[in-house]
Amino acid sequence: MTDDDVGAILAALDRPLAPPAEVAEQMWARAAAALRAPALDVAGQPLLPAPGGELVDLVEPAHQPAHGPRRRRRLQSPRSRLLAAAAVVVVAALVAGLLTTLGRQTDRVTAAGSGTPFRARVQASNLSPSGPAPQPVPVPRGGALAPGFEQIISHGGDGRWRVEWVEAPAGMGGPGSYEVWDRDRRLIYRADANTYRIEDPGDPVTNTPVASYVDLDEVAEDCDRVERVDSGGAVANRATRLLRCFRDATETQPATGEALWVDAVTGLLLRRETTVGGEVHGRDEVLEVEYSPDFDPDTFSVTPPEGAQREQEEEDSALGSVLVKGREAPGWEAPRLGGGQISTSELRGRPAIFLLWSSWCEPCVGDTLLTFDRMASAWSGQVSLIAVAVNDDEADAAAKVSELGMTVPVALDPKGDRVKPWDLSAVPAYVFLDGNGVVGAVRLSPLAPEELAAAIDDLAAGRPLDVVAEPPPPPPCEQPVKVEAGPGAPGVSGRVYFGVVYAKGAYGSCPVPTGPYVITPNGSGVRRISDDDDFRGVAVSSTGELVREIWTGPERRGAGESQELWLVRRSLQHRIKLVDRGSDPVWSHDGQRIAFVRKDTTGTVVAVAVVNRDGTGERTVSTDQNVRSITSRLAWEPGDGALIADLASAGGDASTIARYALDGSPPTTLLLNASTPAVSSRDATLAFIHSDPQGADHGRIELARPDGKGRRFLTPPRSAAVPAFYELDFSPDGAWLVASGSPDAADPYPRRRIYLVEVATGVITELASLGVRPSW
Amino acid sequence: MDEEAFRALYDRTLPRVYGYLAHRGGNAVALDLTQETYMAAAHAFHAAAADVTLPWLLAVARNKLVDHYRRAEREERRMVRLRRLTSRDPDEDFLGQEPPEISNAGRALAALPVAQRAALVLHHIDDLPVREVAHLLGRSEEAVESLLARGRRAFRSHYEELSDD
Repeated sequence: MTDDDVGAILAALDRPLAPPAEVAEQMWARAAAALRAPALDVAGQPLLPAPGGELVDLVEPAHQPAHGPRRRRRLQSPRSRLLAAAAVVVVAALVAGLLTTLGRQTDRVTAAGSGTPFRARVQASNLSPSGPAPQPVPVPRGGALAPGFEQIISHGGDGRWRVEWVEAPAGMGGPGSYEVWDRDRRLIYRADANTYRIEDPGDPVTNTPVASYVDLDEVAEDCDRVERVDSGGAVANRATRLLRCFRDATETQPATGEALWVDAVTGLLLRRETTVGGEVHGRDEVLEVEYSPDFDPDTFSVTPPEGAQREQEEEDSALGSVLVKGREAPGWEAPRLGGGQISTSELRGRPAIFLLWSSWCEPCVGDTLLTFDRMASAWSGQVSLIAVAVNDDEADAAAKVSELGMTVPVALDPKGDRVKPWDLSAVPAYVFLDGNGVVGAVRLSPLAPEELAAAIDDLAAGRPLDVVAEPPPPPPCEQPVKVEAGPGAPGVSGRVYFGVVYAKGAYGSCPVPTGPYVITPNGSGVRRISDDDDFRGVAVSSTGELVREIWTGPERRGAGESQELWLVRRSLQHRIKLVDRGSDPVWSHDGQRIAFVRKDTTGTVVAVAVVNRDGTGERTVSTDQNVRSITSRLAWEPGDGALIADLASAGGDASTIARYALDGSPPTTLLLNASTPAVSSRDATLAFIHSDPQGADHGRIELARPDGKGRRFLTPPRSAAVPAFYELDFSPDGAWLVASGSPDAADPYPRRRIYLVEVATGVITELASLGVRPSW
Repeated sequence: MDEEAFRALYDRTLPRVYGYLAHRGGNAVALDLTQETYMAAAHAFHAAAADVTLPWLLAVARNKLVDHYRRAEREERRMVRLRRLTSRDPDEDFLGQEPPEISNAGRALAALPVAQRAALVLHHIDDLPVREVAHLLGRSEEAVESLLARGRRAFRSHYEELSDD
């Protein structure tokens, strides 16, 4: 069969097919209901006066009868249930047309008027058949409302929300399903299955940007151009203000626009229209709203309804009935990558270990395969180790093998039929056989290097294997990880960006709310900007422009060669790409240039460079490789004539700070025992961290004059009350420093906190309970 | 608004829209996306925002299908533990009423990894140039060529196996 034949067979699939008549009628009923829905056009409606907090009667929403086509078969197996859970997310997001989910749930909203309880009926429509949706505004509940569906959204103030489906797409649980947030907990009730789930608020799936409080000034800062209209007409019988926000095309997004109508009195977002390339793309709209309604006492209760069953999410065991410890395993034969055959019978006489993997299986590749490969070399001649690429295209498997530089023999089973006799249904899977082909153990999840080593040792020595098929589930999360605002500095304005990073094991089994955050220095309005799990800091210019590094590589996070620098919007969405390879950006004082470092694949700094704010004029300043590679921090000298950077001194842990002239002349040492420099834009004061890992002063903040003279400690030595500091930035007026620090001598990087330190007094206050890489 | 006109459009176009989606995405996906397509059509019809025609409906359906592929591919990567090793059951017997060469082609297509399936559908069934497919799937043209080559190979082997049964 030639490629042309394949093309012809496929082309024959382009033919009509009628769905069953009954289904067609059910679908029609829904479409017709949408057609008959009240007009969305508010032009010509009477504009109500907008007295402070005056309420508008809420017409009881017309609950459509809870039927509609059964568009998804009842799910039977736990496996399908999990898939269905995924499908919920899929449906929720895809129908809104690639809406990027921003502004995940947070406890606080900074916008004016936040906190006024309300109940609103909202509806979303996807109006354009083409194009990706523009970036949505950051809202307290992120997500996207499926077009053509309706919700009742209730807000009790103070972090309490209820979202109830009036019309829901398949997989959402149908009409009558709802989600309730009560600050720390969330109840998800699915009416169609009479089941519920309670969890810490994670990613909401049934939301819309409208019916949330939005600060138009804040939104405006994220736009390239704005138009404001003081009277935007009536929406849901409320007088509105209108903001039109335009975003220019970038390398990753076409030009988009967004029109936001907010309640002129309360600031509630009542309608949002998005445009792509000038055409209206979608509309989310509040149809009716009632402020401070009499909520039913149960509205925000996270108690499950009587008779509802808790959702069970157990998984089928992937271990079939064939491989039983102590019994002989069936044999198979498969082609070997690079030529030849691998057959289990030929491996007899010597213990053998098989790792079933696939290049598309993330837990299989990387460390799991590398460890296996290393063990194969270490035990060669005594134990046979075979990697079996299952359900994997030969080309994909070969690419992975060469990418990882593996030397272990690889068997190929693209269709999964070769190893079928073993009846395993998941990867990764390890199968341990003794010299007679008798099963010693089967393992269905990655083994740590020491576990694998111990198992091979036992197998080679003929001892019983201490390997369980599947590790016990981790203990439940006892102490949810949260970012709490500290007291901060009252009266100080501005914005501080920081990040929460994931680190294996740092939080036990608790989910970590990773991502970039923004907080006001007075300790209010902490907001998670996105759920990015590889946030590496942003640099804020004197004019408020933001640059961040964005990881682009397929693997090996943090490897320098896959870090790009982008000018980004307030929402941290891409705007202009500045350089293809750069890390740790720092703005010049005049806001015109950015200094950064280039790293190699191991994360070692190989160059210091600068680029103009529009991405032009990139040039290398130095290729001195002693610049610290982990907490590397550059600063601009006053007047922007030279760069200041910290260096790891040869043979020791203590750092020095050196000055790099932009003309490429060799660096000169400025300060010994010092790291992480920052320079005040106001008076050129130099702030840095005392670096002396064995000494009592390690981690204290020091100040000096621009020439490095007049060194003095700003903060006391580390104690139970005083943290050791690591990363620093000045406030724009030079009166404050924001720093990450930890009172814990072990300095668990991912668990650092964010502090403010007053430059005049050295007074330290906590700003956020978790965070790294702060910038102001 | 003219419900009768909309009903006529619905009756006339439903087999095309549903057939388009069912042969490319399977029954369950097709039912969801067909409904969504007509919901979008109802709103557009209602708001007179677009001239709702068969090409318009198919364009909406294709966009929804591409979105589905993108999402499904991400899920496929994430939910590795759930993917069956040995054989993938065709998720629904949606093509039971079709002649064997059609139903076998549909099943062979359904057995492919999502990315390959998406590339084959858009290039060979929808007859889009590689450049356009690359744009829709957010990949480079080289990546799409490679997906097509692997997809054709895998499709051929699944199809021949099904035809032998």
